[in-house]
Amino acid sequence: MTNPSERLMTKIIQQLQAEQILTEQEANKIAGKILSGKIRAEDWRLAIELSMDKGDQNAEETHP
Amino acid sequence: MPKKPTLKKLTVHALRGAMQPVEIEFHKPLTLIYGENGTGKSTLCDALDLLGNQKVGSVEGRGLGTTNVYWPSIEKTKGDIYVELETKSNTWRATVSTKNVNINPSTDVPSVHVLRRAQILDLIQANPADRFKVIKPFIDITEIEKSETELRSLLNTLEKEQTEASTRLGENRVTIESYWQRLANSKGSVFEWARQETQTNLDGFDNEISKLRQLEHTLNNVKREQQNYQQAQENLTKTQTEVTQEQQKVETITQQALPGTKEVLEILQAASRHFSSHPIVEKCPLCESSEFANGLPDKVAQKISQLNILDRAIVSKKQVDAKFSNDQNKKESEGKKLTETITALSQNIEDCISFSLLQESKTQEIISILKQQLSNSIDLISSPILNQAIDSLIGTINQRRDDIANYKGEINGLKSALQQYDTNIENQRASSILLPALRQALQIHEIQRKQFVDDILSKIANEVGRLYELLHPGEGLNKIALMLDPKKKASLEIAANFFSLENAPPAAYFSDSHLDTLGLCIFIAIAALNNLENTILVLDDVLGSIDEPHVERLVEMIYSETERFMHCIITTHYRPWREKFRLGQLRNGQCQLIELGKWSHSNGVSIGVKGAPPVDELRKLIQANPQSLQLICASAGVLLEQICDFITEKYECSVPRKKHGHTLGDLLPSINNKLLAALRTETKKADGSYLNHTLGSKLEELKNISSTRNIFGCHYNVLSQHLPEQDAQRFGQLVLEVAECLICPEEGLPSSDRSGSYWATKDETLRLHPLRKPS
Repeated sequence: MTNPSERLMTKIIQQLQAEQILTEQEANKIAGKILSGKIRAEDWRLAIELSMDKGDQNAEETHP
Repeated sequence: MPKKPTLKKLTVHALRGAMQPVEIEFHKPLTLIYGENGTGKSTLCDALDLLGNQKVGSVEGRGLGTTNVYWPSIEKTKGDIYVELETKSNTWRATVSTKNVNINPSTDVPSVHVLRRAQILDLIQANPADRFKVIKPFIDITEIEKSETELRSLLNTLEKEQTEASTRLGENRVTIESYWQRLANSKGSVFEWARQETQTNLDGFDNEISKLRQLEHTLNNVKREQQNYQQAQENLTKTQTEVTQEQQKVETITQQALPGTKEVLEILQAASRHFSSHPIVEKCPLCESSEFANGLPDKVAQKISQLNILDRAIVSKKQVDAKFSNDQNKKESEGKKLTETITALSQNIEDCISFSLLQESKTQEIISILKQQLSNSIDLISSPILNQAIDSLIGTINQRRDDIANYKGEINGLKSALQQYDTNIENQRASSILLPALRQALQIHEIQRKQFVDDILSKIANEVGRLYELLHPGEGLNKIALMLDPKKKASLEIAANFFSLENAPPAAYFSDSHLDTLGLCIFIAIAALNNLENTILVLDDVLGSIDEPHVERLVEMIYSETERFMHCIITTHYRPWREKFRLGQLRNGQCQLIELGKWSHSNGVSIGVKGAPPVDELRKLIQANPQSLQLICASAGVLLEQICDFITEKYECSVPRKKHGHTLGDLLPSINNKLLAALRTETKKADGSYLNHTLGSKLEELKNISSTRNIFGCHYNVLSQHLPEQDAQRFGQLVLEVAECLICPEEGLPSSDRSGSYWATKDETLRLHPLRKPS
C-alpha cells in the first residue's frame, strides 16, 4: 500500500497534467523530487516553463 | 457463506500469564475469548501486540518505566519468550532479546490493532496533538506540504519580481523620456525616436575621431617642425657670422706676422710631427746637414710656441667651419621633414574633408589660411600666422571630439535604458504567462491536499457516525466531525452535535458509556483505514461501562464490522455475551467462543471447556452412551423454554404475568392451536433453495409430554423410575428437532422482520412463518 504522500502526489500530478500545466515528461521528473522531499522552488519553475514551452511547440505544430 | 479464518494457530510461551505454553486454534474469523478477570485474556492480546507492534501494551502507561522487564512470566526470562502465529500462508515467530523484539520472517507481518479498556477513552480525552499522532500515519503528507511551500515561495517571489519590474519599467520610461527631451527636443514619438536613434551606427564616429586625431597629430607636428626649421635657420645664420669673424681674425694675424710665417709654421709643425716619431736626430731631415742637428727638436718646439697665436686662430676658424657645415645639414634635414609633414597634413585634411566639421565656414577659413601659408616656400612661412591657424584648428577638432564623445555617451545611455526597458517588458510578459500557471498549480496543490486530508477525516468521521448510529440509533449523536486545527500544526479536534449545540467536544457532554462507545467506534473506524485483509483487530475487554441496552447492539455491531478484517479477537468478562452466544441468540456461525479457566501459578492460562451451544450440548447428550436421562431432560427443558420464550415474544402470545420469569408450563400453553398449525420454518440449503419444516405437530406433542422434563430432569421423583426411558428420550429428541428447525447454527434465531412476510436470520439462512399470529 502506498503512503499518503504518494497517493496525494499522484492525484496532484494527474490534475496538473489534466489542466495542461505539466507534461507527462516533466511530471515524471518532478514526482521523484516531491516524494523525496527535496523539491525546490526552481524545480517547479523549470518544470512548468518547460511544460509551457512544449505546449507552445505542440500548438505551433498543430496550427502552423 | 461464512468466511474461512485466515489465522490458524497462536502459540504463546513464557509471556506474562503464560506460565505454560498456550495454544489457540482458530476455526472462525471472529474469536470471542471469555474469561473472568485474571484468567489471562490480556496475555493473549499481549501476544498479538508483541508480534504485530513489538510491544506489550497491557503494562504500558502504568508508571513502570521500561516495561520489558515485566514481559516474561514469573521465573522466566526474556529469552524464554516467544509468540508464534500461524496463518494459511505463513508462520511468524516473535522472540525477545535484551533490547529488541525480533520477528521472523520480518516481511508481511500482519498489522495488529489492539484496543484495551484502559485506552478506550484515550483518543477522546487526549490532547489534540496526541490525538493527531494516532491518525498521522494516514494523513502524514510532509513531503507534499514541503512541495506546496516551495511552490508558494516561487509564486511569491515571481509576484514580487513582477511588481519590481513594473516599478523599473516606469524608471526606464522616465530615463528614455529624458534622453528624448534632451536629444530630440521632445519631437515625435518617444519610443519610435529612441529605437531609431539607437540604430545609429557609432562606427562612423569612431572613424571620424580617429582621423581628426591623426589630423590634430599632424598639425602639432607641422607646428613643431616649422619651429625646428626656423630654429635651424637662425642657428645657421648665427654660425655664418662666426665663420666670417674667425676668417677675419686669421687674416689679421697673418697680415701682422712676417711674410711666409704661415708657411714656416706649417713646416715647423710638420717637423714637430716628424721628431715625435724620430726622437734621435743626427742630421737635419731637410738639408741632411749634421751641423746644428743637436737639439733640433727643442729648437723646433720653441719656434712653434712663438708662432702659436696664429695657430689658435686657424684652429678656431676650422671649428667654426665645421659647425657651419652641421648647421647647414640640420637646416636641410628640418626643411625636408617639414616639407614631408606638410604633405601629410594636406593628405589628412583631404581625409577629413567630408566631415561636417570641415564643412563649417569657420573651419574652412582656418584651413584656407593654413593652406596659403603652407603653399609658400618653407622659408617664407609665417610662424605666428601658422601657429594661430593650427591652434585654432586643433581647438575646433577638440571641441568636435568632445561633442562626438558626449553624443556617443548619450546614445549608449539611451541604448542601455532601452535594453533594460525591453528586458523588463519581456520579463513582465514571461511572468504574465507563468504566473497564472503557477497560481493554478498552487491552487490545485492546495485543493487536492485539503481534499485529501478532509476526505480521510471525513471518511473516519462518517464511519464513526455510522457505527455510532448502529449503537445509539435515533439519539442524534452521530454527527461526529474530525478537524485539523488550521492554527496549529498536527492538531486533531473531535466534535459532535449535541442537541442544539454544534461542534461540541464530546468529552464535555457525553456520558461515560457514550464516550466509551464513541472511543470504540473511532478506534474501529481508524483501524479500518488499513489494509483490512492484513489487519487483526483485537478488542480487549472493551465493553467496560457500556450499559446493558447497548451491549447487544455493540455485540451485533462488532460482529458486522469485524467481518471486514483479516481476523478479530474480542475478549470479555461480560457473562451475558457468553450466554447469549451459547443460547444461539447471536450469530454463532461467524464466531468461535473460547472460554478461559482459572489461572494458576502452575498451569498459567488454561483454555477451559469450549462453550458449546445448548443445541450441540443436547445433541451430544442424546448421542452419548450410556445416556443420562436427567441431563437430557434438563438440557432439553432449558432449550425448550428458550424456544417458547422466543415464539411467545415474537407472536405476542398471552402469557401469565409473573414476577420471576416464566416456566415451561406457562409458555407452552400460550401458543394456541391456530399458531401451532401455522408455524413452519425454511432452512437454506447449499444450492440456495429452502427446505420446509413444520413445527406445529412437534410442539403439540411436546405440550403433551412437557411434564417429562420435571419428572426426569428437575426433581427427585419416584415416578421417573416407573416411566419408560423412551418418554425422556422422546422429549429430548423432539426438543432437538424443534431447535434444529428454529435455530440456525451460523446465525442463531430468526429475529428480523425486515422482509415484511416472515421472520428471518440476518442472511436469511432460516425463515420462520408466519410473521403475525393468526387471528
